[in-house]
Amino acid sequence: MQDKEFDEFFRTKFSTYEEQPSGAVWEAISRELGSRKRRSYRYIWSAAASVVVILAAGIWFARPAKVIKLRGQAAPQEITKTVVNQPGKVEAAKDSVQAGFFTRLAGLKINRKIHVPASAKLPRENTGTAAHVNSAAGEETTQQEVTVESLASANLSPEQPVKLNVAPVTEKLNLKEHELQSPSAGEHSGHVYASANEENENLKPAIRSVGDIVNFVVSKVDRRKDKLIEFSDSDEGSLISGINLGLVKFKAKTGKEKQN
Amino acid sequence: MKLSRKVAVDDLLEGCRRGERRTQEMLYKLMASKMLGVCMRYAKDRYEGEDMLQMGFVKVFQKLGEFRGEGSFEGWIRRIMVNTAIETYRKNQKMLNVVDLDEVHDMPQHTFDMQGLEIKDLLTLIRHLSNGYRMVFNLYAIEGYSHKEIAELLGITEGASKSQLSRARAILKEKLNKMEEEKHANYAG
Repeated sequence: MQDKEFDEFFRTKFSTYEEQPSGAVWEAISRELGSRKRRSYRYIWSAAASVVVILAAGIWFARPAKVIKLRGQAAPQEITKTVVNQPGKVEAAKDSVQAGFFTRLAGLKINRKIHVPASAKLPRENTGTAAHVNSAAGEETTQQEVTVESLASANLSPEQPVKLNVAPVTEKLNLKEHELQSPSAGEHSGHVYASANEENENLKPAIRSVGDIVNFVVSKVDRRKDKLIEFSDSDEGSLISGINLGLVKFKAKTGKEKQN
Repeated sequence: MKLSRKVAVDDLLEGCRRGERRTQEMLYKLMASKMLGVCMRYAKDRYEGEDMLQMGFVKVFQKLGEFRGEGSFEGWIRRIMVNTAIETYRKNQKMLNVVDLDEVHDMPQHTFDMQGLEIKDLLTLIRHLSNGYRMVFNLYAIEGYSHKEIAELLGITEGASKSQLSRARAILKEKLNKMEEEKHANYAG
């Protein structure tokens, strides 16, 4: 008999073969299915719970930020004055807003990469000072000059809708619009949290930490005096100084020094 | 698959996916006998066969979400049963490392009168094979896998699959012969 026929014979015969299983089999299946299901649900719940705990812990122990004491509060005012006094400026109102915006840029410490993508992204080395955009903590004023000068020496791109014509180099600051990498300056205010609105809101002049970012965002949404959650900087970094859940309120009473 | 059975299965699938135990039991009752038939070919005895059936069905209900209705449901379940059998086989192989001691004589070409054989006889024949030969014979001759696929499934070479298949056939023929002789002896006596 050929192999093929041999195989075929077995195949055909077995194709209709059925055998009744004993009752114990279904019971065992049912048991195993029951236990498996419950087990997997339990895992999901404990996984979810641990995620929530981790998130809560992460929020509570917000990443400590370097505390930077900024001098040079005078700078912003100077700029505004300079801008306003410029003759021949068409969009004075808009520009003062923009000036405020650039003031913030200048005022911010440059190594805080999250805050200043615009200036951090400066591609060209116009002057020798531009290279030191990310230098370590040191003399703030020098840094400010550095920042500003590098901004100043960047090329103007003629397509920019808003132009800042600022007075010639003053001792401290000289702002010019620099080549922004996004088409409109407005987009950048999204990146740089210290946007022009800040002036209206009367918040702290500078954003230095994660806590400040949270405060800023929360202040936009929560219009109560005591915000949903409030951070303040201390020697240890950002700490929660207030929570207001309606029913539950908490406010730290520490006499903390407000940074100016 | 009988049409009535197929229609019943389609109705039950949704409920089974939702985990309704009653519906699952109905589906089991519809398909279990056929699937035990599959498992019995692979198992060395009834106990092992039911074991495979149980493991197979647990998998079926757990993976039911994966069956999207392409192809026949019976074919899908069957593949799960076969895979369960292979799993069991590989587990046993690791533990035992059995060497087949059956001697194979070259059989003169011989037509067998196989029509008189019943399924239970064939099952007996198959059970006489050692685990490896039985596995290869089942997969090739009855499920229809190629040597390449069998090599992958069992973790052996294609060459090993081919040689094991021919040995399996030879052994089966030899036993068949004996069986026939015994039958003739009974009739004659």
